Amino acid sequence: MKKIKLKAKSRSGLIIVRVLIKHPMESGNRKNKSGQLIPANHITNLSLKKNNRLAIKASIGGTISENPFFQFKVPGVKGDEISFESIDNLGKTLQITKISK
Amino acid sequence: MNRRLFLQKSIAITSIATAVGAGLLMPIKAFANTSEFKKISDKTKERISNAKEGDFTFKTPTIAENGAMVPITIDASNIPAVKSIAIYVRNNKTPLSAHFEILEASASITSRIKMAETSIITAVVGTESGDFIQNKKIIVTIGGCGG
Repeated sequence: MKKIKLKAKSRSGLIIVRVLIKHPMESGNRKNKSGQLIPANHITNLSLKKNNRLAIKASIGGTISENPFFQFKVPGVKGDEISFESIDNLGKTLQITKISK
Repeated sequence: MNRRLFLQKSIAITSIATAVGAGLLMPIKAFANTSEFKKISDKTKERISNAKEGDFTFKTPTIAENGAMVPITIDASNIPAVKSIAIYVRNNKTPLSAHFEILEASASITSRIKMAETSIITAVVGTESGDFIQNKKIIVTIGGCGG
């Protein structure tokens, strides 16, 4: 499975963007069986662009579910370019670009 | 030194070493949130205390069977000039779940969050003319991930 999936569908002037990211989203507050804290590993920032213009910017914490899912609505029409990027606290980035259907 | 004494001592030393390793090194690695995120969280808490009750769509389940995956929908597209949307879970260790800045998009967000226990969750919608909130109580039967 790909690390990140994006679907963009336009309907009456709005593009509905659905994003699914494969990520453990470890908050850093959880303990393993021997009582040690599991190190944090979660997405901290994400951004959504439409035709290279920033539409949504977000800071998120470790309390978003594992394999996070987001749905956004952006004004636009079929053929617009939607790109999404996320950065986690270890500095790893995930990026995807798609043309809206 | 006989064999028994040697074994006892070596076990003692190893356990101290593990204790030091667990106690001193782990907190640095397990740093839960960035200081930047903490600042946004504190600011959101302050904003909630000054905000008015608002009229927008805030969809949540009333009972969450699994606290690790609670679906949340906030749709404030009926309010003009929305600048930000935040989700704040009062009883979580990290209370702020997410803070979205709406730049050129409709004020509608759907996501899934984790909840450690039953809590009141607050949706904060920020506009130029002030903040609007809505509170909802979600009962969690199985907690998820220590929040």
